[in-house]
Amino acid sequence: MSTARPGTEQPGTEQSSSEQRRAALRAEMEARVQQQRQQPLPAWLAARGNRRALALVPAATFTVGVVAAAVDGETLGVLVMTVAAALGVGGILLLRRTTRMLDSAPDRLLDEREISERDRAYRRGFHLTLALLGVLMVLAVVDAFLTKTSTVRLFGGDGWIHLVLASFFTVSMLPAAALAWHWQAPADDLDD
Amino acid sequence: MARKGAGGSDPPKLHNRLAVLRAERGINRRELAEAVGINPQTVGFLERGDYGPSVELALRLAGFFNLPVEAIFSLTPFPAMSAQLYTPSTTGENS
Repeated sequence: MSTARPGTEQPGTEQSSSEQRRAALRAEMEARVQQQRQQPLPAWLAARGNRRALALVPAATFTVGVVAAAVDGETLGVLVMTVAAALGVGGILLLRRTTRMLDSAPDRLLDEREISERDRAYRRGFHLTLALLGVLMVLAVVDAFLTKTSTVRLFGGDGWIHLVLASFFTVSMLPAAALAWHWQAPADDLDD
Repeated sequence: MARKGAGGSDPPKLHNRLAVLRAERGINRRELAEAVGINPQTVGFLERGDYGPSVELALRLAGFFNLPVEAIFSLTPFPAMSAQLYTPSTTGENS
């Protein structure tokens, strides 16, 4: 029979208390997410036209990233890339707000309709990611061809770093953008 | 009951009596949603026929209203309640 000295904890007890802490943290985080999801949307975000315009932010981010990669001069490139990053971060925050964090909320907070909507958005996001990889491949081929045949380069200096960063921001937004594009406004609660 | 059709054709619309049953029982969307474990917006989607529920959810709804599933959901439109309540045989015209 083992006896624990006062002040010392059995390994099993320590593990279960850390699990409890983790579970409490998770529950707190989920409650916060749920609270945010239930907040009413501002009118300008609820409008279909604005939502669709917002869904185009990933395309704008990628375009600015291509410009950042293509411009001459390192400082200018970094400046343009900062704009792309700001578009990316702002875009993802707004898109998540518009779609009530459907793309990032834990499964336990979603019902079957929301889960199926989210899965459809991820499928669309995957196809868009493939398209973006295709664009990157074309750019890489053109860049390699130009490097071999002429003195002109499509992307100089840190160009490809900017392009990869912009692609990262763009791909992060795609599921939320797909959700925002196809978002259906919920029925008005007033007609209960 | 998933409404995703195969072969790219539009799935048949799933008709339901949820709005009528909810009004009859005097409960709002939130109460119904809490009772069957879904979000209140989903009740709206179901009532409008914009979303076809899974078999599990349909059974939960049927259990809540204490009715068979086919009394709530149908692939063909439900007849109007007035037509069901006031047929000639019930109004005494044929008797």
